[in-house]
Formats: sequence, structure tokens, C-alpha cells
Amino acid sequence: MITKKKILIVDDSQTVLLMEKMILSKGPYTIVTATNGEEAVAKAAAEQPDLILLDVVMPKMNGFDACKRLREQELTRTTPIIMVTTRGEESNVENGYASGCTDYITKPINAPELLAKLRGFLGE
Amino acid sequence: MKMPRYLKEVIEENNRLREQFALVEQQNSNLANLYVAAYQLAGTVDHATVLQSIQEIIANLVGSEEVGIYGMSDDRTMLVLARSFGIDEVRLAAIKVGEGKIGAAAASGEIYVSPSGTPDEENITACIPLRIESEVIGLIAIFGLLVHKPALADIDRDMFDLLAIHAATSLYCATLHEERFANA
Repeated sequence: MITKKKILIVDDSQTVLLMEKMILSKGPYTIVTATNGEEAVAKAAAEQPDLILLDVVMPKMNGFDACKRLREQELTRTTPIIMVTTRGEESNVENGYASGCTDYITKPINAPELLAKLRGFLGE
Repeated sequence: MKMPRYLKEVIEENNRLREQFALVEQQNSNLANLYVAAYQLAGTVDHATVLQSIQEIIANLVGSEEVGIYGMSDDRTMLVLARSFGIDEVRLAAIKVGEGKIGAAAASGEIYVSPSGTPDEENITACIPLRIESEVIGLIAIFGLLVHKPALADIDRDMFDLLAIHAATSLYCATLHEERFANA
């Protein structure tokens, strides 16, 4: 029996949430969603996902701050966090790593690239 | 030591299947892009939400944060900016139909894509007239692309074809819906 890995998708855009859910829904994944950084931190603690896909520009709490908060929480200290961003500039990527993300991917999302990263982090 | 022939064949077959799998995964991704765009546009009759959806589609599925979404003036001579992000909205607030690349695309109803798929000398990457049958009711102008997006891809051109029809229909329905409630 295949154990489904749980992935928390965080994005304030319904378009992106739907897109990412479509990409991942055919795989062995259970999907949980959040639409801002605050909700992401709370959901991550409650759901304890195996991996988090985290948008950067969001209301209430942006992705960098959410990432720092997730790293402060015992339950999500080592959870792989992939930043998903429209900003591919080097400085932005550096900020992501400085806030504690494990990897990053740029929008528009390339499904094969995203799936390859997930497989790598989730040991599939 | 020489590799047995059958083993070599298995490796070649494996590589071929891997390439095919990657191709299918990419095709699925492209279809998902188009589905998501159509789904989002058809999911509302609120004018502001339709404009928001178009913005999200361009930013997240095409890869540009320099966009103008125009409506058509009542006398059909001017494109009037309805929503924009990342552009000079004063300079580009209104464009005469037939004038420049944007105006020409509105006049012809034909999608313009810069030959290189990157911003041209006027920083225009694409102009997508929004059509209800043959009537142009607005236009989406895409200027610069995101820094990590080297150029438009084939899927983006498919997306423009979809937007030309579906975004137009959604905006038209939203306008009718607003008028209906205004007259009620």
C-alpha cells in the first residue's frame, strides 16, 4: 500500500492553488491549502505536512516571514519548504534561503520540474 | 567486458520511455494551464474578479507582471485602461484604436506577438484583442516578461487564443450582469 505524503500548498492566488492541486492530485499526495502566511504557520502545526510549497507575496504575512516562523516551530523545523515565486532575481532567492527555505521554484510553474523536486525531497 | 545486446536494448528502451514520460508530463502541464485559465474565467460574473483572474493568469501562468487590460470606449475609438500592473498607467491610460501596435491589434482583431517572443523595441511582447465573435470589446497588452522567463513558449500562444475568447466572454457577461442589477 502506498502511503500518501501530505503537502501544504500556500498561495493567495486561487489560480495558483488550482494549478498546483491539478499537478499534484494525480500523484500519491494529500493536499492541504492555506491562503496567507499566518494561516500557513497554523496549518503546518496542525497538519504536520511532509513538504510545504510556499508563495512569497501574500497578505497578512509574506512567505519569507512565514518561512522564518515555520523554522522556529519545533514541528516544522526540518520540513522541506519550497518557495514558489514570480521573482527569480538572485537577491530574492537569497532572501528565501536566508529565511530558511530548502529550495525554490519560479512561476510560471513547470510541472515536470516541480514533480522532480517533490520526488527528490520526499524520497520517491 | 562487452555488454550483452539485450541489456543494451533494455537501456535504450528505458531511455526512450523516460523521454516519452517527460513529454506526456509536459503536455499534461500545458493542458492543466489552459483548463485552470478557462475554469477561473468562467467561475464568476463579477467584473473586478474577472479582471483579477486575468491578472493572475498572466502573472502566474504566462509570466509577466507588466500588463494593461483595456476596455473599449462607447464610440469604439479608444482603448481605455480598466486594470494594470507594473506599467505607466498615466502614459498608457488610453490608446486610440488603430494607433501603434496596441491600437492596430484592436483594429484588426488579430493577436500580435513580437517575432522573438520577447519584448520588442516598444517593450511590447503581445497584444491580445478580446473578441465576442468578430467584435473587439477590449484588449490585453503584455509588456515585459519576468526576469527568469526568457521568451514566450508555444503554450503561451495557446493561452492567448483562449484568453481572446474566454476573457472576452467573461467580461461581457460581467457587464451584462452589472447592467441587469443596475436596472433592477
